Amino acid sequence: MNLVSEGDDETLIRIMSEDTIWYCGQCMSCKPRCPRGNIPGVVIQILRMISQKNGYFIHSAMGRQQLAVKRSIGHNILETGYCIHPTRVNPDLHPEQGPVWEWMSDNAPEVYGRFDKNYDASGPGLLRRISPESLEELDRIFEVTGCKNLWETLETESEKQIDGKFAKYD
Amino acid sequence: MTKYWKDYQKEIAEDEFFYVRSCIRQNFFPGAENLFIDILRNKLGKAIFEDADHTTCTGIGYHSDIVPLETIMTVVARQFALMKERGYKNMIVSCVTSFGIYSEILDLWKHDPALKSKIEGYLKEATGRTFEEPGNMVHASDILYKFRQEIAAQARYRLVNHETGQPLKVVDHIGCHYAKTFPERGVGGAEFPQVLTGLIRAWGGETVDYPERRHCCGFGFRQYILQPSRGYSISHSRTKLESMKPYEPDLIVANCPGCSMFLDRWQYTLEETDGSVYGPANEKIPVLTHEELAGLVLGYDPWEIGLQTHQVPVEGLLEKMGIPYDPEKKYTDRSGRVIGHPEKIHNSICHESR
Repeated sequence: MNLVSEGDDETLIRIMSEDTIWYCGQCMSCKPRCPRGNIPGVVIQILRMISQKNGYFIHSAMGRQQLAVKRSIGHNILETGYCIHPTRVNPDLHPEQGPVWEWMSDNAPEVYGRFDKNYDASGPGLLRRISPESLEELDRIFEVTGCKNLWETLETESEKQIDGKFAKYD
Repeated sequence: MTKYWKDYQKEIAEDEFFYVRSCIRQNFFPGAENLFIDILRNKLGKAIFEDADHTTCTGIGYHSDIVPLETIMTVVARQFALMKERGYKNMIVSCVTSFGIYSEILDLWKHDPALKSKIEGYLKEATGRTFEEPGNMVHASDILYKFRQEIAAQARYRLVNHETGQPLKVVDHIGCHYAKTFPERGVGGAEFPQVLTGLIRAWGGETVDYPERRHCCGFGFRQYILQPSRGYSISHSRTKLESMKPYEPDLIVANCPGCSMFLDRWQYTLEETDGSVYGPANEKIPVLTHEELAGLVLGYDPWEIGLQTHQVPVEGLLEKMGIPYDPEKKYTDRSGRVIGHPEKIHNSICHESR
């Protein structure tokens, strides 16, 4: 907080090029603990966003992981209308989810269909299929508000060569 | 009630609700939201509406930093627009991450009307829609808290060991984004949350206080999403589980779908990793969502509300509460056909695996 409040550009760029800002878990437990009412977690959010928009993130291994987040969660959002979807939480990549998740994933229509006839269908309900019109509206929002530009920056900056090594992370 | 305690209360609307679902809750606790809707409609006699056109709020993307503030604000503004178009003013949010985001957005707009105007422009340009802020916006657990005595009056089972008559020891876990950032939006604020303890006590249970009670479950957004940093997540859950273990809890209840999932799944992973088990009698601790807790108390069939989708089996809890269940119906589809069984469930309270 002190380094940020001092406002030294060189220091800020260094912070935004290192791993440390990517350690935060965004639980915001810092808010009720801060005697001055600050929210360091939100300051970190802002640093992360500036780091990505200006390409500083590719100088840190944890920063470069943002491309993977964009290609998983980001694409889930625009392609399904959900941040996560049963068809996209692969048990092989999530062994910690255990055998019950593997069973749910393998039998998704039957498991989810038990609780709602509208699973993966039109109309309201559990994990309903989001209509093409709604997905189009989401896509337009992402375009108009600059999220698409951010994602383009994540892709192009991640292709750059850093210190003789490709920074691409996938 | 003293003046000071009034500061820890919040306004919760009485009826006529517009409901927005949670990505995580739908994926991992697929019976919970329809159960909540059923309780409101058929047990409490409330009107609750779900619009097919609402989408994710994009909150996981926002807190893992790939969705800018203006983008998530406009997506949330679209949900508000749908609510306005349907004629509702009272919003119930299923997800705690979403609830925190909605709270953050309404607070930012309150302090920066120009930002709200900017978002109005974005929404109009992208969708042609206009919106109004909700008259009342609460988390789903707030609703069960408000009507906890009405539910208690209809209870078929209580949070009591039916053989000993002793109250069950229940850990309450409040999702961090419920009230840590905006304490005035949570029942009991950030330091004295009552939203789940109110349910536990009203339904006969005993709450467990333990040192890491307010510690985060460890989701960490990008920390869990990315495999290399997933240890961040499990280490936080482990901190909590080790801290609560000496108190021998019968049950954990959480109002956040992510917390419910992690406290459930990480118990499996920790046992697989080093053999650690955190419940009494060398058993894992069942984890329920607030809807599922209400559902059991009200006498819903455990498998019809989705308790078979938990990694930690719930049979031991059902037996303590005296709730009958049919093991043959646990892993069936809508028609009653068995659709196979999950492999290797090691918990000693999962009877069918022993």
